[in-house]
Amino acid sequence: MKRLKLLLLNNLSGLGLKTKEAAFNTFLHFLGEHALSLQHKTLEHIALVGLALFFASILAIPLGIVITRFSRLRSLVLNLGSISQTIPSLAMLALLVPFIGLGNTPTLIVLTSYALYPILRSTYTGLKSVPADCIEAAKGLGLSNFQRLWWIELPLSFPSIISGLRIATAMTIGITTIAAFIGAGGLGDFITQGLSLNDPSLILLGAIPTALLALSFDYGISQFEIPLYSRKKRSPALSRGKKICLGLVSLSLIFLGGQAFFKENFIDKRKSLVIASKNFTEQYILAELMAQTIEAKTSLKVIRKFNLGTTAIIHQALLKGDVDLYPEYSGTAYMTILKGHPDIDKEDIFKTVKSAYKEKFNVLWLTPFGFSNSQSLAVKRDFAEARQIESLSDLALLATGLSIAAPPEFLKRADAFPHLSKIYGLKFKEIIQVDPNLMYPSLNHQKVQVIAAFTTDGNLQKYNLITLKDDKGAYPLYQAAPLIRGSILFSYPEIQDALEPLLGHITDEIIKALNYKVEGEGLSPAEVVRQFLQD
Amino acid sequence: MNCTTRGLILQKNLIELRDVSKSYADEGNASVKRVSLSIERGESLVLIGSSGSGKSTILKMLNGLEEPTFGSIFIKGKSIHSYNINTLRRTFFGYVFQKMGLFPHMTVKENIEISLRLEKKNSEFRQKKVSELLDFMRLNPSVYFNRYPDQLSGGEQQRVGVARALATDSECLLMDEPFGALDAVTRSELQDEILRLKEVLKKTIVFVTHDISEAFKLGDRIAVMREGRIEQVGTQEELCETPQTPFVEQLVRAGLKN
Repeated sequence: MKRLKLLLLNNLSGLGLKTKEAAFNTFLHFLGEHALSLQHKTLEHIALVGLALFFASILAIPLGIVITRFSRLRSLVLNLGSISQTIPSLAMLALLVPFIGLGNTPTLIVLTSYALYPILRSTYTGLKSVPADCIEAAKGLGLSNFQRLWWIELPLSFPSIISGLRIATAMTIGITTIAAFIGAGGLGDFITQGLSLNDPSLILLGAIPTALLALSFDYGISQFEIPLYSRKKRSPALSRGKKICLGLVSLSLIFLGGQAFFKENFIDKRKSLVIASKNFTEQYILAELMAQTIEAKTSLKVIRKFNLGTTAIIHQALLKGDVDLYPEYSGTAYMTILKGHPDIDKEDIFKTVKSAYKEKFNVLWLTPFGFSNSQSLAVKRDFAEARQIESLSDLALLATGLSIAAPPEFLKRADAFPHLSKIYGLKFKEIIQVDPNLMYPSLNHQKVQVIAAFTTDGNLQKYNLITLKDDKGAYPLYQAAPLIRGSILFSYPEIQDALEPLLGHITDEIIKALNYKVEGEGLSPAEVVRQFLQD
Repeated sequence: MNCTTRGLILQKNLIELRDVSKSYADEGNASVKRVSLSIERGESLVLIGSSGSGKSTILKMLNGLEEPTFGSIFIKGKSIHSYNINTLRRTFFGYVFQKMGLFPHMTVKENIEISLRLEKKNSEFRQKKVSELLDFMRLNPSVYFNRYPDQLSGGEQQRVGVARALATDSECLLMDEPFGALDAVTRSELQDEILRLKEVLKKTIVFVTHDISEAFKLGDRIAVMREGRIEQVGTQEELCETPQTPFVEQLVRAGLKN
C-alpha cells in the first residue's frame, strides 16, 4: 500500500512512469478522479440513446406497418429514410441549432432520425416475410385486420424488428458521442475534451465505455431475440422473471434520463447560469475562470456547456437563450458575426462591436479580460531561423514550396485565411484542413511546415514554435471579453460585480502561462484555474 | 308469397351458390365459371378435380377470402354480404387449411383457442374446451397443450388444425385438401376422424381433394370439377352408374381400381 502511494506520488511529481505497475496505478488514479463524472456521463449517454430509440420505435414501427398496407407510400418513405442516413450527423446537428438551439432537443431529433431507418426497414421486412399461409389462416379464422396485425403479423415480425432495433442501438450509441458538440453531454464530452486538450486517456475514457455500452446493449437486446426465433432453443433462454428485470432496468434508465432531461430543460433554468466555451484551451480556461468566480461569489448555480463547436453555433445558442455567458474576441465578433469590413481602425473594433451587439441582440460586452489574442501563422523555431523568416511577408516569399495545416473555421472565415492570403499574396503548395486539436501534432510530420495559430497558445511553447509578425497589419485586434445576455445581467447584476476584479488583469503573459499549464503540462483547465485563483 | 316460398326452399340448403363466376386478371389462380351448387344441412360434399380446376377457389369464396366476379352466394337463405364476414368466419365456418396454417409462435393451446379469444370467452371455458377438442382429436392434452407446431408431426399438426376449426362449434367445416401432405396411414386415420366427427357432431362438411378414393370415402355427394366448371354432382353410385362426361367416367374408373 505504501509502495503504491509512493509510486503515485512519483507520478504526480512528474518523475514519469517507470514500470507497468506504475502505469496501472496512474490509470487507477485517473479513473478514481473521473469516476463520478464517468457515471454521470454514462447515465446521460444511456438516457439520450434510450429516449432516441423510444421515439424512433414509436415512429418507425407504425410507419413500417402503414407502408406494408399502402404500397404507394412504400418507395417514397423507404427512399426518404435511406437518404436521411446519408446526411452527416454533424451537418444535421449544425443545421438544427439555429432553429432549435442547443442541448438535448436537437440531439434527440438527429439521433431519432438516424435510428428511424433501421427500425422502419426491419419492421417492413419482418411484416413482408410473414408466411402467406399464416395470413390466410388468420383471415380464414375471422381475425379482423387489426387482430391479424396484433396477434399474428407483429409477433412473427418480432425477431426482425428486434434485429433492426439492435442495429439502431449500436449505431445510436456511437453517434450520441457527437452530442457533446452541441452541449448535450454524454460520453462524447470526454472524447471531445480529450481531443481539445490533446489527452489520449480522456479520449479513451469516452471511447471505451461507449464501446462497452454498445456491446452490453447488443447482448441485452439479443436476449429478447433468441426465444422467438426458434422455439426449440427455448429452454436456455430468458425466464419471464429475467425479462421483466431487464425491462424494468431499461425503463428506469429511460425514466432517469427523461427526468434529467426535463429538469435541465424546464426546471433548472431559473436561478442558474449557463456558461459556455468554444472548443479550444483558452476558451476553456476563460469560461472556467468565470464559472469558478461566479460560483464562489454568488448563489447562482452554474451550468457548464463547454466545448461547443464554432463561433456561429455558440452565437445562435446565445440568441436562443441556451447560453448566458461566454468569452468572445472582439475581432472575431466583428468579422464573423457582424460581417464588418476589415478596413477599420483597430482601436474602434471593440466600441463598434459593443454598441452593435447591444442594439441588435441585447447582448452586452463586459470590460475585456486584458489581453489580445490575435490569429497568425506559426512555424517551428529552428525552421524559421534556418530560413530567416520573421514576418508574414518573409513567409509569402517561400510559401509556394510549403504546406499549411489549419482548422476549417480558419480556412473559411473571411477575416482569417482568405483575408490574409489577399493582403500578403500567400500561395501555398498544399492546404490541409484538420481539426484544431490535431493541428499541432501534424507539424511533426515533414509534410506540414506552417500552421494557423493564436498568439496566446500554450502549445507554441510546447512545440517550440514562433508566430510570424503581422507586419502589414492584416488582422484586427482580438480583445477577449465576457459576453452576456442583457436580460440575464438585468436579473442577476451580481454577476458583473463578481467578475469585475478579474477584468483587465489577465495579461498576455498570464494567459500564455495558463494555456501552457494545460497544453504543455497536461493539467485540467479546472485545476489550472483553481490554482490561479488561489494565488 | 313469392318471397316466402323462395325463403323456404333456400332454408333447406345451408349454403347455395348461384351462377358464381370468378376470373383473375393474371392466370396464376384457377378461375371458376358459372357454378351453381347447393349444400344441404348435415351433408358432406366433396369437391374433386385436378389442380387448377377451381375447387379451392370455391371454398375461398364461401369463406369470403375471395369475392365472386359474378353471381351470388347465400348462407341460410341470406346473401353472404348481409353478414359481418369476420363473424361469419368465426362462428359459422371452421376452416382447415391445405398447409396446416398453424401459427408458429403460438402453442397448441393458443392456436386452438384463438377464435374463442376473439369471441371473448373466459380462460376457464377456453381451457376446458381445448382439452375436450384435443381429447376428441385423440391428442393427450397434458402432453400437447404447451407444444409448439414445429414440435409436432404432420399428422399431429393437422389434428390440431381440425381441433382449431371445431373450436367455435361452427355449423360448417371447410376443408381444403387437408391431408394432401400426409402419409397413407396417417391420412386414413384422419379420414376416419372426419367421418366420426360428422357422425357425432353432425357437422356440414365441404371437402376439397384431388384423390377420388378420399372423395368416395368421405363424400355423401361428390362434385366433379374441371377447368372451372362442375361436370357432375352426385353420390358415388350415381357417378359410377351414370357418368355424364368422359372425364367423370375416367375419374370414377380410376377410383374403383384402387
